[in-house]
Amino acid sequence: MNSDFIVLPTWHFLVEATAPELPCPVRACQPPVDCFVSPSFWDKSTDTSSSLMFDSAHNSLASSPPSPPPNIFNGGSLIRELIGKMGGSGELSPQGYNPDQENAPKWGQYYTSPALNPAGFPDLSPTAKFPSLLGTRSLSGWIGQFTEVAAMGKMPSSPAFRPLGSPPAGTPEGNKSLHLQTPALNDRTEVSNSREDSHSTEAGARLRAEASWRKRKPAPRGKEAETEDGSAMKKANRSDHSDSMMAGEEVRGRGDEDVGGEDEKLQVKSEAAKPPTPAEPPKDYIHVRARRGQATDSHSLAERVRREKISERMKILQDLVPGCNKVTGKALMLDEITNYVQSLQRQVEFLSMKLASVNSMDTDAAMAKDVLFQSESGDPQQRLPISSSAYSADPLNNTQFLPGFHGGDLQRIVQMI
Amino acid sequence: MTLARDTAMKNPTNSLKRRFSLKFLKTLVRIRKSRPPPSPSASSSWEIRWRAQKIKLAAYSSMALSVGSKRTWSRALTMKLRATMGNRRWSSWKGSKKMTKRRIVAKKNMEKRHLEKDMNSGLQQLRQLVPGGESMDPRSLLEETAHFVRCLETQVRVMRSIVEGFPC
Repeated sequence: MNSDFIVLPTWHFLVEATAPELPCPVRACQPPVDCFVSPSFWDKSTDTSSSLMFDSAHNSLASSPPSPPPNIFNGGSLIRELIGKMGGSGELSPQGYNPDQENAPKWGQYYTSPALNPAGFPDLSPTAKFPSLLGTRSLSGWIGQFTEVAAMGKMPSSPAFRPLGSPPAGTPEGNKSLHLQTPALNDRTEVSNSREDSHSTEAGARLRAEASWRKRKPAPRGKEAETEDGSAMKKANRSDHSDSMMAGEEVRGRGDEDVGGEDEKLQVKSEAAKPPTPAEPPKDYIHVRARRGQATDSHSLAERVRREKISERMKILQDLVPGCNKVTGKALMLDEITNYVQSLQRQVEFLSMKLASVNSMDTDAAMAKDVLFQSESGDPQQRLPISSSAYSADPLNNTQFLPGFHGGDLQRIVQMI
Repeated sequence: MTLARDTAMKNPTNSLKRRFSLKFLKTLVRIRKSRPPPSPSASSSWEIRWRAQKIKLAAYSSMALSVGSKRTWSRALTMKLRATMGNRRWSSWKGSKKMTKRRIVAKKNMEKRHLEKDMNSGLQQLRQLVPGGESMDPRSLLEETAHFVRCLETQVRVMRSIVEGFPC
């Protein structure tokens, strides 16, 4: 039964018509549910401003997704009105849709099953909005007409199709629903189920649009959810491919700026390896793109990432250790680093020995409390390894040394540090 | 992490040097005040060696304290020093137990992982040098090494200035 209303994004069909007004066109007609089902009705409605509302909605989306209510995309108010009409409720306030009781359960039913959205809209489909339509087979014809219009370009999927559960509130809610769906990665599975249904109907064009849509939606969440939406949209309106048109797209598609969309294969590969991340929200995954001529399975990609990070660290160490620039190769460099660390530790030991010898000579204990440190005056080259023998010899010689060391001297010494 | 950020993270700033210098000097004063334990062979060289060891421990501990717990090596070094000094108060530190367990688990993971042969021996040597390095993956081991090297350099520099500052 899903196949009937799969063609969801059909309401784009309304957009195609030239109705310059956004106001709910359906208000003019109070048709029973069946009326909606009949294609003729929709023709009429398309002639009216209803189509325009999509159009204007579409345009408004292009400009700014969160546009004021008289924009189906933003708040779906018009849709709601349509739905209300179809549901036979008659009056639909732009801001609030109150489906009649008999429709409510259907709505909820459809809402709970996002799969209902064959076009890829997470949970908002005309069928969902028009539960009564679902029951009727004639809906398919109606939907078919919609699909033609679906090519308007942007699927205001999220904003337009708010969860049925939430009372339609207009733009804010539309946006909220959008946000609700944005992180809903789990919708993917359900949407993919619906996708199969959608494919049963106009599969060819839809798939094509879907493919192109997928290019624009590298983000995983956009993959399934938007494909359906985009396919329908793209069919209707090929001219508008800008992401800004779609409110939902904007919210979700900010990350796909970097995706040219041309190498779908590459994207799929990288997706298989690591889910690409949208630009805005921080993700756990790192977008790794498979390089040309290299293996693209997930293991090798992860391996490469790991190796790159290690080489990054090695470069830092190379800068630290003097004389490591000439050494090439990880193994040799590691040896060099090890030698350097050992020499540093030996120096510390030697210096401590020297200090001990000096300490033993000094009897003055009043110091170091008022010491002020200034910038160090040590020679950076001093840290270079010095032969241990030279150091070890010194303490023996220093035993002869009897410094007249006083607190003031120490202060001076410390200030030189 | 970007390279720049890594470098910034690994660079102990002058504040570290100052912290270390302060701590070290205070310890030096304390050591100077202290007297070696009476031993049968109270030779000056033995005394010097004993002092030298204390100074070395003081240097490492003050460095580790200056770094704090931000670094794995500083934590490991602190625990090792406390164990060396035989302070009962610290031996029952809860953190040590946790670290040990984590270290054992990490070691197991390390053995399972296949590392490049040419790097293995070098990494192994590095692990022995850097405190707490046995249970770190190569990436963090290199990171810790870089920071450790910088701190060691600071330590050497300060000690050298102190030594040379003495009017010998």
